[in-house]
Amino acid sequence: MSSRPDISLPTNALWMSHAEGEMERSSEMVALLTRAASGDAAAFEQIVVRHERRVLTLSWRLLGTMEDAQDAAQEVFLRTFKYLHRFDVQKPFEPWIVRMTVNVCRDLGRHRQQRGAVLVDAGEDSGRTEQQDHRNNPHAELHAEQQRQLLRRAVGELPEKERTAFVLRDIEGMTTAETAEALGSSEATVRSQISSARLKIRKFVARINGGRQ
Amino acid sequence: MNCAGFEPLIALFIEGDLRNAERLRVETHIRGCDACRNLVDELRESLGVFKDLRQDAIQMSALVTVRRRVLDEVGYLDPAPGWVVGMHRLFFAGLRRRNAIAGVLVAALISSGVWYSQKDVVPEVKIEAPAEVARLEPPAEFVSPVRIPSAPEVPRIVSRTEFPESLVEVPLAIPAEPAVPEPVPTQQQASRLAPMKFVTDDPDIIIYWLPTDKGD
Repeated sequence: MSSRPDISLPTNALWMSHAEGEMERSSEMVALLTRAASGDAAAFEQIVVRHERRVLTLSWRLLGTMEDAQDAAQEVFLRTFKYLHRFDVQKPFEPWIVRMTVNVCRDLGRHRQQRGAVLVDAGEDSGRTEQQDHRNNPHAELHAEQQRQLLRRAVGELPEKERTAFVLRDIEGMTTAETAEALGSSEATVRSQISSARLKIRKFVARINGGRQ
Repeated sequence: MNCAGFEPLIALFIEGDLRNAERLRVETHIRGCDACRNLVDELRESLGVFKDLRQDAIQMSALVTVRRRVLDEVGYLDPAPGWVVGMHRLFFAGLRRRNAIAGVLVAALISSGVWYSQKDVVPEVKIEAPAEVARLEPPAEFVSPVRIPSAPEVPRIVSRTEFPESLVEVPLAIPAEPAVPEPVPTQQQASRLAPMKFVTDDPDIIIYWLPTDKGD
């Protein structure tokens, strides 16, 4: 009880364990990808389990409805299985699958737009769970939900490229460089798209709020 | 720059997407502009709500549905054969597919250009004596082929008058100079002064050169 813990070690140990954990995860992922590329269904299932949440969430945010998002996620994983042999396993897998998700959602979004579907209206969708607990203040809960709905509509009004850049940068929380990589464009282009999107959303919200008053 | 010009920069400023110089400009402007400060607050507020949206989670049932559908479909798909995977890794070696294809195309273009340029080069160039286009030979005896007509006979009108005797000058007696023999041109001078005949390829054209004393 009297022995004091060495306080110089834990920092290094934590850093080491974090780095080692990353390396272990990375090498495990490489093994999974290699096995999946050679047709191992169990390895591929592991890959799906690891990335399905990210892919489905991003698809849902880009497309707006859970039904479309599920279709998109299914297509993303099928393409992953089909083209996995083209992927360089030494590179990080997540940017690759995010880029594929963006491309699939873009294709599906165009198809849906031709069909006349309304984008980003996920408020009534049942695929989402409420994380924030406003049960103590129903009024605040209602207000917050209305605001979220309003902002989702504003995002839905954006042009496709600006919407995609905005979702990746401001909702998914990716950096500008990651967003540019996922979109296959330059950081300057992404910055311009994000700037324009933020200002348009603000104008949309101001117009709606001005109309209500 | 007015406030409208600052708006796009402010939209990037709120999330730290500006470079240092632009950030400092925006900060300086915001300090003295209430409207732009309000814009910053509004944008930050709406972005705060979007950040809350990150907390939204997907229901497990939706995930399970997707997983089941994917694995069912994958069961019907054949994976790429091992040799395809191996060849792909061998040829593309971690490059992005389109970059690798573009590289191969550029290399093919360059090699075909080099091959084409090599094909047109004549391997052996024979240097021959240039064809004789003009032959210069001084004629032994110049005979002008151009017949120069003699001057026409013009009748001369001469008025003959008798000069008075007093006006007639008597030439002074000039002592006779010794006769100087005329210089005989040397062989070289003679050939230099001699007219030359140029024979061209065209038998109808013959050029004659009549040199002057100066050799022109």
